[in-house]
Amino acid sequence: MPSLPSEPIVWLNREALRSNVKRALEICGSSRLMLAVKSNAYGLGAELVVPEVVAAGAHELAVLDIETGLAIRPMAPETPLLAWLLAPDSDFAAALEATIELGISALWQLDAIEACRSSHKATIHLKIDTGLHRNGALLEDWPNLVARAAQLESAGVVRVRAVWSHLADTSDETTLESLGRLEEAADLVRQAGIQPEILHLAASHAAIELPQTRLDMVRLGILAYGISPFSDRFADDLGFAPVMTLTAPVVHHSDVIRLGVGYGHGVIAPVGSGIEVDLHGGRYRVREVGVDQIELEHLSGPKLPEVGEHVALLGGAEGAIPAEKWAALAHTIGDEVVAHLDPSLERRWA
Amino acid sequence: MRHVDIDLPGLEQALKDSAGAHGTDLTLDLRANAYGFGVEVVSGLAKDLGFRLARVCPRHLDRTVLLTSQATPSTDWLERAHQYGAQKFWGTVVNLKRVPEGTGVSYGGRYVTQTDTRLALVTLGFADGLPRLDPVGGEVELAGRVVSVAGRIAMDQCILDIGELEVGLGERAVAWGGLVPIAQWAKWSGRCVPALGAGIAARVQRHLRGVDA
Repeated sequence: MPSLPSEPIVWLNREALRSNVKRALEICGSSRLMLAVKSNAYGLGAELVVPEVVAAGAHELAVLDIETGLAIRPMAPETPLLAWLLAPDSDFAAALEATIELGISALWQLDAIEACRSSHKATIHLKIDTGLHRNGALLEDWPNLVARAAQLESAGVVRVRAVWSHLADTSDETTLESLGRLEEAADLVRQAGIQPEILHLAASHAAIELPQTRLDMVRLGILAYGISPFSDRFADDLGFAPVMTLTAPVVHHSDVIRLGVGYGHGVIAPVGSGIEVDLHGGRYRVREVGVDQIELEHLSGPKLPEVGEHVALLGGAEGAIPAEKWAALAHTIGDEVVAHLDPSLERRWA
Repeated sequence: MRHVDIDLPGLEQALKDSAGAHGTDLTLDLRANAYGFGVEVVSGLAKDLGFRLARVCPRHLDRTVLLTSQATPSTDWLERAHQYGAQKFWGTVVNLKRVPEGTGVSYGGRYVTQTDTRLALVTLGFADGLPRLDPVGGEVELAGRVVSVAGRIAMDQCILDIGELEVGLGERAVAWGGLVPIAQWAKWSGRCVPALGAGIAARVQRHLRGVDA
């Protein structure tokens, strides 16, 4: 093993990532797989993750904004890449130049595409709000949006490749209502003379729970990284393996053990006092998560190794605290635990 | 899309106040990129005011003009700087929509609108460093008013319930450092103020304000 620095390291398990993509493809069946690599690939590190998931068979990628899309594009030059959080000052021309597909929720976004007068035709995904009330056009605004998209398609400025939405995952019942609304919205698009190639709706949660939401494409995020979107199940239960492990050096060793990692590296502190955790077979009380150290009081069981050794603190490695468990202690979800990790920490394949 | 403004006059005043109260022999705690203020900026101002010592993270050693020290460092400057609102964390409105009373908003439908209202989508989420409150909550400054966060804060976005407040696309939504102090976000999230500043993501654009370059 190469020598370990005094700073924490984010380790990625390549086999786990590959097998997760494979498992996702199995779940997708005949549907395409779009992998979300936004927010630095959910904190894992886009530079390592993006080429790997493409090689493992992900059909498409999703980022959030054009800026991130432009950064990701060189890592996956041939893969369809979708960006959908668009602001009036977003660089639409650069997106078209880099063949980034755009998720369109509002008329002004179509105006912005037209105003580029780009030599590249924009490939767009029209987004309907089916109940999340975040992005996506409301049904009452949909006919105008569709009419404008049809006009731009006839003029050769855009191609409407998809109609899509994002779910609130409130209940099976509301999800099926959302599915119905998406299908109605797609009918209106077809009536306007547009033939979208695909419909997409489900992310991790619905793709597992309700197969009929998989449609032509599933957008998978957190589950691909081996972290569960459910509060009552681990990713392992669903056939996915955790990819990330955070290790840190032991910097003090007595009845109190201190690890050289803290909130300054992006570790979110558990909420409340007297929190106890199991770590490498021992039981510890978390005394403090400081800016660059975590202080653990040894209660029982085997003790962590001596000063200088790296210890797997959180993530998928054996003996570490799973991200979902840590998330529960911090009153949040696994997504935030990983997305919060400092991107300047070193990433290594395990 | 996502921004943090560092107000230099406010930061400088905080350092001056700290020097006045405790002298300039303190070791300034500038770990975690000076808790989101930026090591270069704080150490530069501090040096001009006569401070000599700082504690910084090993990966930021090349970014300080102060001598590094292992003495117990002081965050007195940080508390004062936040009192001056010298770190303003903000995103922009990128979508607006009108919804009826009784509309469930964001994941899990945990927030339900109490009136016919308008929702503003803002480009700040937990990957930017806005803590994901459990289950819902939080307030943000928008167009001179304080408005509620509607529903779960997502990875890259949050939604505000803005009623009839007149705003357009591109309007600034200030999470903290404006009408809503960072201490409120600390209380709502159960995370400490230094952790919130430290948690502002690298992708958030930093701007230095209040100087003629």
